[in-house]
Amino acid sequence: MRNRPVIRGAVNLWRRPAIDVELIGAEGERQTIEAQIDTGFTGDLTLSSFAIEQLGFPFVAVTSFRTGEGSLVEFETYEGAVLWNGHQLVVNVLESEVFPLIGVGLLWGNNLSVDFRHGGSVTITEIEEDQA
Amino acid sequence: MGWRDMTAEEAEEIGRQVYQSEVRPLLKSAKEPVGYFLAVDHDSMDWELDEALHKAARRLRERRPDADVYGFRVGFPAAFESLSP
Repeated sequence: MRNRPVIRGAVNLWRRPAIDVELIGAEGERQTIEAQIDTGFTGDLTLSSFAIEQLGFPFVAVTSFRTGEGSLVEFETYEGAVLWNGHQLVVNVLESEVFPLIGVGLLWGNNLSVDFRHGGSVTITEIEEDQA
Repeated sequence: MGWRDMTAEEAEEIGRQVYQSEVRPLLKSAKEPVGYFLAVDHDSMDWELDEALHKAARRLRERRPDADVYGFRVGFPAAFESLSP
């Protein structure tokens, strides 16, 4: 059995599971940010306009975003790159000024395990292919 | 005038119309490409369909470098959703 890479994090002070994510900028530069995991969010990742500009992520499209109350809002979407389980992935980055979020898009194909208590462990592992 | 001059509801309605009248008739499969992204240029209504939004938008800009691109998601009320209000 091969060793699968594991992404580890912790439940933060706001009781949310969080992990460090390594972002890869347009010039190949690396930047690590803390992102909270939101399984209610169907996208990949949200970042502040400042981070998007710093990393040089190119603009892709205007998109709609439906909130839980059912209203639609427009979001600018950028093309970003992250290091995930040892692979470089291209992700949709939504510009949002609140804390960076990781959604189901980026978690797809992975197992997420969380101990919901302060400092509780968060682990993300790739689902083996025959189970995915 | 561009996508930013209209509401998300208006843009989504145009996206649904483009999908039904332009995209759907060209698909060979009877199965809807649910979850695929449709990138549409505002002025020409030219479009590209792909599993990845950035790929659809890139192909559209190869043909139309100044494209004003909206990203729609087939089968979804919006490209992205959240359960939080």
